[in-house]
Order: sequence, then C-alpha cells, then structure tokens
Amino acid sequence: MEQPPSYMDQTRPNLVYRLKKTLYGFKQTPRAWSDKIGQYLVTSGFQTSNADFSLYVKKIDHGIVVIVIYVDDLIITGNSDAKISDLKKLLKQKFEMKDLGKLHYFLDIEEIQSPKRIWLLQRQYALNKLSEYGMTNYKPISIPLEQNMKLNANEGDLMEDTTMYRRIVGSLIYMTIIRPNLNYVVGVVNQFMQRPRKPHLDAMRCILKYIKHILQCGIYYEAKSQLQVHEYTNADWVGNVSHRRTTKGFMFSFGSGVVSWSNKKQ
Amino acid sequence: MVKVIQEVEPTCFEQAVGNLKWDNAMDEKMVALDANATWELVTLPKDKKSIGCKWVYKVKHNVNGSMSRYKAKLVAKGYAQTYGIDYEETYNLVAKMITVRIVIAMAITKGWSLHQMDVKNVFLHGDLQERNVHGTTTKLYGPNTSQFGL
Repeated sequence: MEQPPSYMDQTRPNLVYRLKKTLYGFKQTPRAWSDKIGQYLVTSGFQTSNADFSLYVKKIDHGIVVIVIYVDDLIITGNSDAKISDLKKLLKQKFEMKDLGKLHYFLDIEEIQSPKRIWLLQRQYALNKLSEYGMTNYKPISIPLEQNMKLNANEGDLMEDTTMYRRIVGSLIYMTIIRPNLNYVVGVVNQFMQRPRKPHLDAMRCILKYIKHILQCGIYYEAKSQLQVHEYTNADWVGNVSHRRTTKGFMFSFGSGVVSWSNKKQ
Repeated sequence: MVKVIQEVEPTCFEQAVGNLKWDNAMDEKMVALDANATWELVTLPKDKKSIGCKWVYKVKHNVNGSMSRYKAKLVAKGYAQTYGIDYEETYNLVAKMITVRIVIAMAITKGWSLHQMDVKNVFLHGDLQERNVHGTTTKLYGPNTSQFGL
C-alpha cells in the first residue's frame, strides 16, 4: 500500500507498506477480525450457535455466559456476575477492549435499563437522520401512509438523484429494527428502489414525519413474564388487487416483548 | 429535547490538514498503526502494483448528541464504497438484530445483567494471511493480485 499523504517517510518516499495486519477497506478485513475473536472464544470454551455465528455461549457448572458480537461491539450477559467480570478482564487484555459498563447504547439503539425492565429506543439515530435529510422542522403526523394509497412503479416523474432515495430507504430499514409498525410501509417504498419517482419520495417523507411522531416508542421487555414463545399471524387474502397477491405477516414474542416479525407479499 | 450539534466532517485530506483536531486524530492513528506492527516499509516488487489509501474523518457523538471524539481512519482503496454495499450491510444487520433482541429479552426475564464492550482499532487485530491456489501464503501489495478474488 502507498504511504499516506503527509506521513511519507521523507528519506524513502518510493517505498510502499507491506501489510501484516488488516486495514479498513480491504475485502478480507472484516472476516480476519471475526475469525480471530471467534477462534479465541472457542479455545476459551465457548460454543458458536448454529443459528447465528455471532452468538457464543459457554456453560460452566451451573452458570452460563452469552456473548453477541457485531463487528467491534459486544453484548455480554449471563447468570454469574463474577464470570462476566472475569471474561471482561480477559478480553480487555487480549484485544484492547473497552468496558462500557451496563448495556446502554448498542448499534445506534438506546437501551434504558432498570433492574426488572429494559426499553429499546432509537431516538437519537432518528433525530440525526431527520436533521441529515433537512426534516427537523416538519410537523409530525400520526399515520405513516395514507390508507388505500396506491403507489405505482410507472406513474409520476422519475427522480434524477436516486442515491438520496436509496440512502433514505437504507436508514428507514435500519429504523425498523425496533419498530415493527414501520415494517410494512418501509417495504412499500423499498420496492421502488431501482427507479424511484416523485410520489414514492412523497410517501417516504410521510414515513419520516410519522417517525417524528413515534420518536419515544420502542420495544419494552420486562422481567415478570414467563419465558414463552407466542406467535401471531394473519393474511389479507388478495389484498393487492393489481397483482392479485396476498400479503402475509407474523410476529413472535418471547417473554414479554416482541422479538421477530415479518410481512411478505406472496 | 436533545440538541443535535452538527460538526462538519472533512471529506478529504486537503480539507482536514492544518486543522489541529484532525491533525491530532491522524497522528494518533499513525501511532496506533505503528505500535500494532501493522506494516513494514519495503520496496515494491516489480510484478506487483501498490494500492492507494485515504483518510476518512468522523465525529463521534455521545447518546445525548454531544461530541465525544474526533476520529481519523486510514482506509485502503480496496473497493469504492457504494450505496449498494452500505445497503447490503444494513440489511445483514437487520437479520442479526433478532439474535440481539432474543438475548436481551431472555436476560431481562431471567434477571441477568447486560454489559457491553467495544474494541478500539478493531480491524488492526486481524492477521493478514490469504492463501493462493497453491496453498502457499501470498503477501498483500495491491488489488490486482490473486488474493483479491476472495
């Protein structure tokens, strides 16, 4: 790799760096890190989950320690506080990790904790996005999309700048991670990603105004409930008249709150 | 209501250089890279091409919107980052969130405490060793060499 500007070795400007460790930007970089931490955890007695390779579990006597890794962020939990702090010490030494204490801000989600409950919010992320898109002063509205609004792939003026549309859809998708109520409407604007038109942008603005209305809403889990899984499901039996398709949806709750949801056109 | 302070992030080296906060951020990063034995200076072999790099600047915010630190990242021009790729990443993240929500729901119900950690300079920890078809280790100089197929 070339030497970065202003940090050239003055006496040897023609030399290049041969990399021994990875840097941001190389395609193989993220994998190199997750391989390394994964190997370390496995040699320390953790098992990778078959369902999700970012989930590691270790059972010790009657104890259990659970780790979720998302690139450089980790969640650690388990029934033994002593085991958790031992693990934290090890990770700090081995990987220069920083202990951020109780879970409070993970992947742009605010976690507001008290002993028996936790509240997941995405207020700050939403505010940042609204200001990025110049919508801070827009009036909030209480519904995300007008009922029976028909958005069509071929009607309305084509947008010249499609990157902005795609960017907003990207952040809207990210905002569905703790807002099941946005799932359907974000799916609608997502369909027009390839060739967005003016009416689609208007619909997207509506969703952003609605997000302003529900800034304080998020998912709430509390301790009093039983750890049971419940499923709810429904279908609209050919609700989409033009395609003659049915939209199906489901929602799973685990303990006191919802953990998984989806809706799909047939 | 939380006030969001928007600090302008430089988009290129020319905009950042000469500004004390960003100069410090870059110095700090170079020190970390050297200390980590990330690289060594060598003469470029004749049959290899070198790859460019650039600085990326980021203002890190706290939860309440206040500024926490100025970060400079040195990024290899391994690929041009496109919205397609950013979007892909967001999408993978959505899938992962099910795991995060289940772990949180379970921990709260069981009365377990939840903690978080993060890694500084995360990507510097990965050792760079890709193997080519013959099973021998190749060294990374540039994008047009065999190891970039992966």
